[in-house]
Amino acid sequence: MVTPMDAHDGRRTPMSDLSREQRLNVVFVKLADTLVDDYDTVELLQYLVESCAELLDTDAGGLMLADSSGQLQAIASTGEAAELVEIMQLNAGMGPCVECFTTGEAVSVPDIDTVQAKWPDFAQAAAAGGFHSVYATPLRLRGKTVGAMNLFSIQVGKLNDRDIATARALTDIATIGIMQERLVRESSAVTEQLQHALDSRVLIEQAKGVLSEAHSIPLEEAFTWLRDHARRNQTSLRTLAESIATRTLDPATISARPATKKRP
Amino acid sequence: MADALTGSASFPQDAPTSPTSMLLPFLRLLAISGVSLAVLDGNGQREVIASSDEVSSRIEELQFELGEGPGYAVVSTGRAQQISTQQGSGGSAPFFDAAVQDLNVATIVSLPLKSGAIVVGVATLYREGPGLLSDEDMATAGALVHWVAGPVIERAIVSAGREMPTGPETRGKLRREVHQATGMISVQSDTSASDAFLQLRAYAYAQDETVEVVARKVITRQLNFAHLPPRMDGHPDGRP
Repeated sequence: MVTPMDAHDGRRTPMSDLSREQRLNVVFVKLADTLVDDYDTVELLQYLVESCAELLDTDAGGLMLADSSGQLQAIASTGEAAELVEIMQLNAGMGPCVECFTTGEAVSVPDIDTVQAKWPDFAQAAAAGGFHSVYATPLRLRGKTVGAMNLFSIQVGKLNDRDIATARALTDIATIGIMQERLVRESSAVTEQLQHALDSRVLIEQAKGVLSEAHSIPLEEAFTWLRDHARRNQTSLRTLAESIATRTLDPATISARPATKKRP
Repeated sequence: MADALTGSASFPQDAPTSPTSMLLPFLRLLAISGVSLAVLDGNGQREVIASSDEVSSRIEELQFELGEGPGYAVVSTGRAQQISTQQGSGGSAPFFDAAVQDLNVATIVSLPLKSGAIVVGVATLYREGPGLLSDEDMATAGALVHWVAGPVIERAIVSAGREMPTGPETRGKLRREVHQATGMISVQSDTSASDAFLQLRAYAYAQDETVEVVARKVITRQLNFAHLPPRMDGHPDGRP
């Protein structure tokens, strides 16, 4: 149970503790359920951002992930206003989100007015969106930062410690989800590449056997025939080999040189 | 380099660069007699990428020929299997249990080679002397397969891309001759490749020869399936 004592380190009256705790439970259970099932990363992150903005003492949220080149990309946000600010941050390449991502540490800006000089583009865009404070927390796993989540408020003030801890716990779960999805995706790409390479080899060797037998030629010569036929017909060796090995293509139609007689 | 590992019985620090350097740490760190590393092709058959000796190769080959054995159990369960050849598989692989008696092998351990959560190959260790591998050895073996899985996959992809196997290695040929023979038999018997392979395997089993040996006879044209008496394996049409 959360005691009433916790409730007053913030700047505004938080939602009733009981209701907050219950809702937090729902969010944790849903995130955990999602991870043991098939899930879509973007949906997971969208749910995370919406839950954080709603549960914590904030008004809007946005989440950015680094792409393969290390550039931050906006993945999820609670609304257009937050997205605008994110995009401004991206364009400027400067702001609390980028700093949070680069350092791997949370960045708290209790009053955006005070960072006018440091991040003028960001401060201006945030003000235009009606936001006056922001808290950025990293998505980190084992020392690797994969992105950052920003929580905006229309009021000036620090996020309370309890909300900071909650934001941290929720982003940690989301980070595990992202890493797991990446691992599965990468390993299935490797597996596919392996299967493709092995299958091609099997089909090519079988096709050599078929040609060698059908034309009474040595196996090495069968390969030359295969390769030349594939080149002449601008088809891949694998595709040709497969149609010969599965005998959907009559081996009699393959020859050493461009056919001089009419093909059937 | 193999040299980098020579004389040290500690866990390898670097990725292996050759089949020898893939195998050596297993032999150095574990109380075993031999090891082979294989990847799975799309049909669930294993292609041996590296093998330390003839017995290791034969254990793999037997499973390939019989279609059963601890390597299959690894693929279906995703878990390491350890069997004592004296006790056998407990009924799950009776032909393999019987055939392996001809080899000087007391214990076989099969472990999964994984990419992420997916089993992409199998490492097979064996021991001539009696006794199972200790828990500590099993843990080391688990760490070694984790270490070697990526390099084995890379090597398999590279060798599959080569038209001819290169270098002095006699293994890691990816059963090219078996696939070639399969293609030839499919013409001789006018059948599909998968049926042709079954005929090849049935013939080898009936003649008590290895699939590799029969395949070589086919590609050197000493054996032609068109000239065999029709069906040795009980054709469903019931004709003799």
